[in-house]
Amino acid sequence: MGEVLKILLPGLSPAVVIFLLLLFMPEKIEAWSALLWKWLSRFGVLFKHAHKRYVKHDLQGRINGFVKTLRAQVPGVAQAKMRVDWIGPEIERKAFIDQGQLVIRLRRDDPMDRNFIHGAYLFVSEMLLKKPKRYVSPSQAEALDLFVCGKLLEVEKPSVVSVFLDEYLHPRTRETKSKVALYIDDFGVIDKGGLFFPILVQELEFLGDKVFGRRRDDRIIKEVESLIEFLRPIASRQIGDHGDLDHDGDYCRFALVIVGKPYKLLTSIEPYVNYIRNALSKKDVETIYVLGRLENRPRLEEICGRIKDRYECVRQVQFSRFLRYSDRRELALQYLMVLRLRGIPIVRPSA
Amino acid sequence: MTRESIRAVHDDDLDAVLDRLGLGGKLRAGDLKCRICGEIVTRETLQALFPDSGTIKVLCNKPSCMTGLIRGRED
Repeated sequence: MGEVLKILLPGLSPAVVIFLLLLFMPEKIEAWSALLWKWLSRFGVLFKHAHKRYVKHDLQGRINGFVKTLRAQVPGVAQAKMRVDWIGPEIERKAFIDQGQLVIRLRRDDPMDRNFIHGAYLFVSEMLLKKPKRYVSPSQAEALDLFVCGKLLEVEKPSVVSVFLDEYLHPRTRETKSKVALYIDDFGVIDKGGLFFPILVQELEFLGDKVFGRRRDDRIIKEVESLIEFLRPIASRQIGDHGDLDHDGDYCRFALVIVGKPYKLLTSIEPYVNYIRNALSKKDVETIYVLGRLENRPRLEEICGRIKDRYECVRQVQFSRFLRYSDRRELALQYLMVLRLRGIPIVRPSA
Repeated sequence: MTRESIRAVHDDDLDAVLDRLGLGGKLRAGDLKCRICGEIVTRETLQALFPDSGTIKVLCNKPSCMTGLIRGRED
């Protein structure tokens, strides 16, 4: 929608432009209004509440802008839109205790923009990643929070990244044997290969959607660990490398089908269809990620159309990632189709 | 799309909110300690408030205390 607006906007009257932006890009309007409030807050006596409004709209506009882009890759993980609710002098002690929520302080004197860092970290850890973190270990959860918060700040407020690194990330990754540090390194590799949000976080979210009878938390945690170990080499592999692309766990059962070999695509899509039907479908693989270059989109859709009786396409994602060849790296547009096995039970009994 | 809220108190309202919650006097007397690191919390270092077992606890402004609290809530 953003691309369409960019083409249409120059020819329209200002009132229509504002109306369209409000309708389709409210988070942008909110971020711009934050700048206005920031400017007005310099005139402290005249605009006493301007700083409060600036802090609120700055946080909401930027964080919800990030959520909107993330939703294209992992719709379920970004269902929550963030709002800042102020508590004021009218609050009753009993009501405060009954509500059971953490209240953060947002400062008037904030030269390093720590208000934004605290708000973003709280949003990522308590709302955005709630479901994907449901069954992971504390160190896996913390690494996810820190990594995703870092991504949010990189995109929405690069000026505060160094403060975040100094105060949040480095203290948790300084020790060489820190598990959090190892996970963050793994996430970095997986993200560089373009697979962090569309596959890793997506799988954790599917896992978080399930209910297990007599679940074994230790086994789920080990499986999340094996999921990360499985994705790391795939994310960094070179074109032409071979390796197992099926993750056959008890809790995460998925496979990656990379549609790329030109000699296969030029002749027929049958090898891919047969592989999914004969190898993956018979093992009841729950999610299949069919990945290829954007220019091969019609072939990918054809493959997925052939197996739609067994697998439903729940999402198509376009993104760019570096493909590694033996002598170079190439930025390529990718097309990913996420297929889910039909009739997956929500409750998973122990036997 | 649902909306979820972060609850916050702005500096402009901080003193009134603390008094209302019965924490203003304790803060001024140096009787409030950070729930995570145990250090005395002053008005300058106060970063967050939260209910805990029928009382109200506070956090200081060390980021490790914020991450520590969130880890504790997840465990």
